[in-house]
Amino acid sequence: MFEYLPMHIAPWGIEIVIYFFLIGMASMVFAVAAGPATFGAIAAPFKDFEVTGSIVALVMLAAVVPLLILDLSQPYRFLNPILYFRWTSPLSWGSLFLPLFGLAILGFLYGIYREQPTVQRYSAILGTLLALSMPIYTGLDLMVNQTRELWANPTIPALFVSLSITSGAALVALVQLVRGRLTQEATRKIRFMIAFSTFVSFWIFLGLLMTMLYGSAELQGALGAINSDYALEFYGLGLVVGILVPMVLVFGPMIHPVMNFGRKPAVVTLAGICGAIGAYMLRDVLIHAGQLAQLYY
Amino acid sequence: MSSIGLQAEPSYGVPGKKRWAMVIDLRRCIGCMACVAACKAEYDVPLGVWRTTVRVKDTGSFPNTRRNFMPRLCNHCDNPPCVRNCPTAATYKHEDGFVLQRYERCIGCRTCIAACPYNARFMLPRNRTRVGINSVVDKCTFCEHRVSQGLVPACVQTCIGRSRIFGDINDPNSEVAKIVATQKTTTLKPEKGTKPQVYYIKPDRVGTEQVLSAPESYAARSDAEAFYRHNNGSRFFGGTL
Amino acid sequence: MGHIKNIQTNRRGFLKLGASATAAGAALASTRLVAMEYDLGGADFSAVTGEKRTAVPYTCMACNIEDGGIAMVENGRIVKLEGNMDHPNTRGKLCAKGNSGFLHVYDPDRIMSPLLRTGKRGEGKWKRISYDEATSLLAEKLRAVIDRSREANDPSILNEMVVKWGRNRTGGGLDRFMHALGSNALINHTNICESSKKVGLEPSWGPDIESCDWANTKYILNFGSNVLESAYFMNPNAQRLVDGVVGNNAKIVSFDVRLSNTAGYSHEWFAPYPGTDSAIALAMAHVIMTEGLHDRDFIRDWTNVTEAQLLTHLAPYTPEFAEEESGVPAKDIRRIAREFATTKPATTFSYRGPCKHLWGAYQEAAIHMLNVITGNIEKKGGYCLPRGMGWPQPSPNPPKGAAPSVIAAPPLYPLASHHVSTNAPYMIMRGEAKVSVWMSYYDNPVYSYPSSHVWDAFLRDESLAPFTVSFSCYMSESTELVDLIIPDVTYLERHDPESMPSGLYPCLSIRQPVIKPLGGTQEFRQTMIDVIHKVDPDGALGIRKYFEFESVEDWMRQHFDNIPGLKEEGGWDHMKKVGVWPVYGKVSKDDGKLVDDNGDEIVAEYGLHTAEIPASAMAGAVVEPDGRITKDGATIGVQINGKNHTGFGTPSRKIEIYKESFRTYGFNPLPVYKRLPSRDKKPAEMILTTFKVNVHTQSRTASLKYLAEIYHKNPAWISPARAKALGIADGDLVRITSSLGYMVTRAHLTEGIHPEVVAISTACGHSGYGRLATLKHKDADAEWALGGDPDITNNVWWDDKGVHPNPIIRLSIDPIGGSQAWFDTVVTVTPAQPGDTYGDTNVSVEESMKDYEETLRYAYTGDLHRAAHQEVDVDWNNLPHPAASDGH
Ligand SMILES: Nc1nc2c(c(=O)[nH]1)N[C@H]1C(S)=C(S)[C@@H](COP(=O)(O)OP(=O)(O)OC[C@H]3O[C@@H](n4cnc5c(=O)[nH]c(N)nc54)[C@H](O)[C@@H]3O)O[C@H]1N2
Ligand SMILES: Nc1nc2c(c(=O)[nH]1)N[C@H]1C(S)=C(S)[C@@H](COP(=O)(O)OP(=O)(O)OC[C@H]3O[C@@H](n4cnc5c(=O)[nH]c(N)nc54)[C@H](O)[C@@H]3O)O[C@H]1N2
Ligand code: SF4
Ligand code: SF4
Ligand code: SF4
Ligand code: SF4
Ligand code: SF4
Ligand SMILES: [Mo]
Repeated sequence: MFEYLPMHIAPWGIEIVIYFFLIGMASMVFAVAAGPATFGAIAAPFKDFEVTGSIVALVMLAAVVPLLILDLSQPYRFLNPILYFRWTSPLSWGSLFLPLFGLAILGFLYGIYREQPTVQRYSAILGTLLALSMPIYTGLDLMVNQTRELWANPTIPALFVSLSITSGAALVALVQLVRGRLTQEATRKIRFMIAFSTFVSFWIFLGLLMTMLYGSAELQGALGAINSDYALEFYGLGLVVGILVPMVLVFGPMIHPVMNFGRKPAVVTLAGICGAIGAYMLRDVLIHAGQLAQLYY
Repeated sequence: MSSIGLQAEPSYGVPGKKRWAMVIDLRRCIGCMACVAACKAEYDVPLGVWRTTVRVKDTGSFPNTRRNFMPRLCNHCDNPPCVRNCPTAATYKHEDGFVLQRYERCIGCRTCIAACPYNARFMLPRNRTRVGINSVVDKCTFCEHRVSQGLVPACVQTCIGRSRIFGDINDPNSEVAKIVATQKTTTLKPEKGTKPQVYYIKPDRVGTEQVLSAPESYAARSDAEAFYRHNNGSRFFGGTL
Repeated sequence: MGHIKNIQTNRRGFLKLGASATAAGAALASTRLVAMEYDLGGADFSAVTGEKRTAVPYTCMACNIEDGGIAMVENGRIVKLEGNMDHPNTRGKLCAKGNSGFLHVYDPDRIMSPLLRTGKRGEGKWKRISYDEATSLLAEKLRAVIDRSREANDPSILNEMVVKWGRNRTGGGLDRFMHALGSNALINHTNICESSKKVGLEPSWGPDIESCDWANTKYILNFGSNVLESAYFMNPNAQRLVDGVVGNNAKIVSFDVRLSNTAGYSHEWFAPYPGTDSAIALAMAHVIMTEGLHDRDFIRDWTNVTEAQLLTHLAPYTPEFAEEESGVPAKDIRRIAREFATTKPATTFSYRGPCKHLWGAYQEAAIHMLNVITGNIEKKGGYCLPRGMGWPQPSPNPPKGAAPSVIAAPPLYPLASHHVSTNAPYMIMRGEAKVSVWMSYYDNPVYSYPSSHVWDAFLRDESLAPFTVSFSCYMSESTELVDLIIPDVTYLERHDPESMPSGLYPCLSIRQPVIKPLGGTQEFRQTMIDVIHKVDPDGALGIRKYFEFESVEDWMRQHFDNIPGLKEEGGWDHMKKVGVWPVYGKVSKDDGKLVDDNGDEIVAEYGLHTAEIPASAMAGAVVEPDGRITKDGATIGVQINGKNHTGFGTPSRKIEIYKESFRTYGFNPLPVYKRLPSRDKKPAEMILTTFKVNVHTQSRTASLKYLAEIYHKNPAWISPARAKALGIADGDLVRITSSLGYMVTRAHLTEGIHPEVVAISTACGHSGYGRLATLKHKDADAEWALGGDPDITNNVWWDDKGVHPNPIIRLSIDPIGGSQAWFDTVVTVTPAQPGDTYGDTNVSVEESMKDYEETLRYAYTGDLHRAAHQEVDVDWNNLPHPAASDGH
């Protein structure tokens, strides 16, 4: 006999990361597209993004839902979480919200095409709330695992929201840039979104790092796993590329005129893309490393 | 309040209710692996997944070397996080304390695996020898189908060291209740609030405190590598095998 | 094995004792923690449908400890095995191998029909034939030998019909078969197994093994037995050992060159230099005797030596001497000797660790003596005689063949009552014996024997073995080389009578087909009947009459239907239903002990040697001056202090610490320590030892998926200190070289091994034995194979099958016990050389042939024997002449 270890496979892999990332991005894209209808003047610069944004969100939804279903080992039972709804499981909520979100987008588009502003407006409000629920529920998916300490942190849903805002803003900027519609006004709004979300992400990131550095053995184990297997993703792509670089770009103009290029649409878009890369990487690391800490227990 | 989402109230210490529990007396465990084989046979458990394992670890240096054995299985937690998080109630808590699976409901989302702090759950592969239940999550059932017929679980039945002891911990006359009341016992990760119902006598720290303990010896490490190679080269779930 | 008792007396004795011991039993309330409210076994239900499974009793043979089992059958398929609660020694438990045994039945590479070789030997080309064709072919070959013998009027020709067996649990069936044919050439396996232990014991006290009363002892001295993983009788002994250590607070001290699970479980573990156990045991005896801690009365009454004689003999064996030889500190030897002698009751147990060395028989005899001088023999909690039972053979029973077979019982080893099977191919290659038909039953020497390549060469050579048959149901390394395969069925599908002295309660058990043999396969017993009927169709040869069984079951009835006591309970029908007899009582839910209906412990009988000879039997008996009681020329007992006891199974009916038979051939009649050649190895060299693991049986379980999953590779254990000196890191490729050649494997660094030793488990490294054992599980089914376990095809995750050490292990025979000295091979261990790949093995048959010459020099006629035994008082120039015996 020698050291004998029962082998375990960590339950969630890359599919979950991609899903979490895309659904967060799609929901924020829709939130922006629905902005003019929901919030009125303040979101006016995105008026011409309403249809495009909704369609982009819808297409993304149509792409990620099958991904999510196919990730199930019993895909044909995908309706079970709704049939046997359990309110203690974020997954149940998610599986309810996800189709509703899709319906809300459809309702929104219906309202636009049929020129029914009330339908459009209520779909927009409902859709925005559901859109916000997407990163929150995915964050809760992790957070409710009170026994996985890296995940069992109430800041995780907040982080997922802020990461989604960054990546959503990035996609809006990119689409509008490609369409040649990234106006000065829209750029300003997007720059604000990125500034706000990366700032929030930054503090949550620091908070997580602190809890891991000085936390329980399990948390330290998680940090160990990150440092050995995910250092580049976590610190390089997640922190530096995903948070610090966009922050420098978007906050720069407020600090020194030299940094004024940070107001340019292309640069704001670039900041967003950097942020989106980080948003993906941080999710990737949190989901993966959060499981490794217990893999051999 | 802790019963929220569990479908059955925690029954530990509740008068008039059963609460099945296992005591593992590590002084009596000889690492024979009979329990591992018996459990595999009882359920046609496929290769690569285990409802129960016995971990082996040597400690000390020559000539004062010791060998430690640590049987592991589902703790049938009285407050099981796996149950709370399941989106379909495919996993549920029986009122006598078993934590069980409804295979026909399970969608294979692995939320419950993520929730279990003990790695007690696993995904059944597509192929097995005899039983036709595949591609859903499974785990130790405390042999509910035997216990409900008045028999001890299969691993207890065969335990060569008579190390595994099973019974209703709510019944003060049961052996498990007497042991837990009179002997020094420990549970795994009690701080997680799961209220595990597998109790250990004389545990070794090496066995219980392995939060992140990757295999040390080449022999074990290379096996782990082969295992993950088999799993499409990943330590993470990448589709049912 | 051993002691046949009249069960009726025994059983009544137990019941009586059980009742009278109640008061004491209650006072000694057990501290063991096993009470369970629910049933401990006997039934099972399907986890899927909830339906009750059919329970059929059988006897386990996943290894050869023969525990009692119950097979659970669901829709005609065996789905689960468990221990038989009625078996007094198994007590409802099976080990990991026993639990996995049903996988033998469904092994995808099980051979499903007789096969006739079509290509060259070993080429793997087969033609499926029927059992009828196969048995006709074998019968024809056998008949040719018989006819030749009759024509030449030379019965020795009959010995050209040879059977080589590894496991023979046929209850006399195989012997009947060979003797009916007139051949004595039954080559067993025992000299690779534990034969020197047997030869250390038999002349000492009769039987070939001890039965320790583990559960009731207070002190266990374990010399090189790994009872928690292997050894006779792993499962029953392990259960009782834990009962003793945890339930009875017994202390256990183990001597083993590496940390076995038993050593790891012991309170103290000592790693002696290999082959020095007898120095330690003798030094302990020295301490016990010189400090007066011995049992004077027992030595006086029950041994053939005096205290003075022992004191003189033991004088040189000081603890300091033993420390010098073994490396075990003298102060520990002293301390443990005192503890052992003063803690009562106490017992030793030993298995292959000490005896599998050159002169291994001495080591066993020395360990045995510790129990004798402390008077722990046949005491509750002590070192007891084995308790087995017998069954009658159907009549008529054929006599042995007329001519002795030299390969079955090589003449140079007159004391080796279990013979020297390893030497067979060498003797045949050197023309010392001739083979016409070579039959292999339950045997795999090409994997399991030392210098296994010699067997490979022998079996491939058609000039040496012109016609070869295997009855195996698996394509083992040996079976793949034969001309004809007539597959047996697995142990869950056939009939055997059984009795194993695996505890203190003697009993009989049986094997019976739990399910109908798969795919029309046929059990070996039926094959034997068919072959004999074809050899002698009309009875003209006078052979057929020994096999006039209507059916295999009829054969079983003839064993069991007339045993007194059992007969009244239904004979064979009782055995079929219950699987075991007698049923002593129940397994207590409180503490696992055997109890009667009132819950009182059924106490085993002790002091078997003191049983008094009834006055009726004394009529006509004579008490000789030395105390022996003789009747009609045979010794029937011994008179001690005026009482007539049956005594021990030795010529003097006492324990013979002094063995006259040893002296006759120039061996020391008293237990001694002889410094082994391997003790004088060069400092840079190491000693290769091999060992068994808890989840594997020898050559046949690498194909069982549950076990292979737990243990599938066997890297070489090396101590970190030694490895560092050799420039080897954990997991490195290493080359291990003996005088025969080398193997390339990986290093496993562990603090659990003596720095002079490198240890490799025997469980892995198959080149044959099916697709799982060789990790070719993705290959398509062979035409002859059962096929079909999707679990194996898809879910095997490991990719290392280990490297087998036997090719580099030298043939070396204990001249007394005839045993292979497995644990003495001197090797060098180096980092692998450029170009070496994992699993490379390169060995030479010529070098192995030299080992044969070399080891004969230690046989009683050899020069090295004489050099090593100067002290023996014998006429060296007139040693008895080597003579063939009819033993088998
Ligand atoms: N699991 C399992 N059980 C089995 C079997 C099996 O194959 N598997 N086979 C059965 C059979 S056929 C047999 S013969 C028995 C054998 O049973 P055992 O004799 O118990 O087993 P081995 O592994 O052969 O050897 C025992 C120990 O001897 C040690 N040893 C080697 N050299 C020395 C020495 O010089 N001194 C001392 N003190 N120790 C030494 C080895 O390290 C090893 O741990 O087991 C039986 N039971
Ligand atoms: N290096 C090293 N080698 C050793 C030892 C060691 O200590 N060190 N130990 C030795 C000992 S103690 C022993 S006893 C031997 C045992 O070694 P083996 O004799 O090889 O023992 P088994 O594993 O019992 O396998 C016997 C063979 O029987 C055949 N067989 C299996 N099942 C059946 C069946 O149902 N019917 C029939 N007819 N045949 C079947 C298979 O071909 C199998 O290979 O190994 C020895 N080999
Ligand atoms: S051990 Fe894990 S699977 Fe078992 S009940 Fe507890 S949380 Fe659930
Ligand atoms: S995998 Fe099955 S049992 Fe587990 S949480 Fe999902 S649905 Fe429930
Ligand atoms: S209780 Fe049953 S399912 Fe659980 S480990 Fe034991 S045998 Fe397996
Ligand atoms: S069967 Fe019992 S003694 Fe053997 S490994 Fe399992 S728990 Fe330990
Ligand atoms: S020790 Fe294990 S394999 Fe051997 S007979 Fe007993 S249960 Fe069967
Ligand atoms: Mo053996």
